[in-house]
Amino acid sequence: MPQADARVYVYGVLAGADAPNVSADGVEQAHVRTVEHAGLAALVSTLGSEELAAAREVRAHWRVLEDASKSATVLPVRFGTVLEGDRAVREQLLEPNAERLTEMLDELAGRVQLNVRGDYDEQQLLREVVRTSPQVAALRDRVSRVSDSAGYYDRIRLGELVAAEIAARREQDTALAMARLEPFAVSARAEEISSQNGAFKLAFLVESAEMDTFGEAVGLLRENLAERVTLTYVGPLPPYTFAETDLSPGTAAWA
Amino acid sequence: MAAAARSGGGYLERPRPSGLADVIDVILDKGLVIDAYVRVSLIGIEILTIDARIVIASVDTYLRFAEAVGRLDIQQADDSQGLPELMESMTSGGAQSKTKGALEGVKDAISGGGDDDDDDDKKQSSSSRRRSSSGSSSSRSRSRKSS
Amino acid sequence: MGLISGLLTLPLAPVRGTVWLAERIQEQAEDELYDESAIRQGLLDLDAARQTGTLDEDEIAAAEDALIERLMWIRGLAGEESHGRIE
Repeated sequence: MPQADARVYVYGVLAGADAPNVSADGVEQAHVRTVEHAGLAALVSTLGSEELAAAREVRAHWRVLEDASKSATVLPVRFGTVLEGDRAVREQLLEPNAERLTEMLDELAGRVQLNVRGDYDEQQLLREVVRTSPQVAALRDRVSRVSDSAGYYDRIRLGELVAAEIAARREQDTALAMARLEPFAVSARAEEISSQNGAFKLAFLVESAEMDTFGEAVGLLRENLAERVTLTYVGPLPPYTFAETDLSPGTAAWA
Repeated sequence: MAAAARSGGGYLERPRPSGLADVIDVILDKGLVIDAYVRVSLIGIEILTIDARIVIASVDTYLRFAEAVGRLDIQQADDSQGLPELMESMTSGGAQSKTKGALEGVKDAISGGGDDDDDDDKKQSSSSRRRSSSGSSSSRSRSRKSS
Repeated sequence: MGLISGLLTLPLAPVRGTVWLAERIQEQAEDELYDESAIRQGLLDLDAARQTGTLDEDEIAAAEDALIERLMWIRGLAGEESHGRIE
């Protein structure tokens, strides 16, 4: 029986009525249980130590949420969140935020997160940039005819131009993919791209009942992108990206 | 618009199940943030050793960079060498603004004009990347409730 | 041309130019270290190795841990306090 004041790691929040049986091991391989209050349930496990080996515990966090999401709508909590104990979970997390949390769970009920990302083929991308930009082509030509030191600043300029071309293509392709898919989703986000060849990185909240329709839109987008952009379509995921405070329409203008 | 009557228009795709590679950045970056009052230390890699690696990497990187640009030959049909090294530095979003700044810095250097503010800005922007605050990844969003 | 001799013979290269160059090198190196696509690709490759049974699970897990740690370092998460607020 865990001590009432032993610190707890928190994975997510769900409706009290949905309390799932999570078989996956939690952080530090601890048993995952729920702490209930105000019609809500927090998914937690008792923590033994002061420090977490972060990389390993990310996996536990992930598996617990995946497992719980199979049978319930779960509001994922940020990785690494620890509260003082069961009482703190009730008094600091669930009680003061009961209304907001219940609202958010209502927004997410019956919906799943689906991620769609696009990646360029680097070779093809560069060839296209050279082909479509006379400035780039001309500068590249000039650079190729001089010595390393003499063409030094020109090479910097060349890289700069190419980078700008790629950034413009990313914007266009992000807009294209978003325009194609967003109509079939409840909510959509365009994430910052952190990889070299990334074209777009999108997250969608979709009604479970409309997944097939969304999937058709993805299929069509893939056809239209052809070899220019490789599409990766992943999910369903617990709604990590949509576990935020404000899902109402009209927030955060997306141009 | 009756949801049931719509067609997505294309071949119906099913998403593939997510693996660690797909979720790792959302797990670290997203999810509800709670006031926790508890200090939890996440053990990560030794930061001290990284600086040494940066120094060693930089010399090699410059040489490869210069070499790759010199080798550039995109016109050939069966070209298997792109500009990998060039693109590595140029395609990440932050790099774009850095190279712009770099060119200005060069002009200043040649003309002998001082522009310390520019340099400071560049330094700040590159060190701030290291501490990119989680949850603030620029996300543009559009929401609507389905009726 | 070697890096050092290249530096010395750069045309129109005053002392400031040399310092500027060092900064460009630093940025380039940092861009490589901060590039997350290698981490993502590594995780994808490890998962593939798991499917084909090329490596055993302990090796794969250890490699995944290292990649995750690198990503956490990039994001500035290592050694940080965990705190925040429901807004």
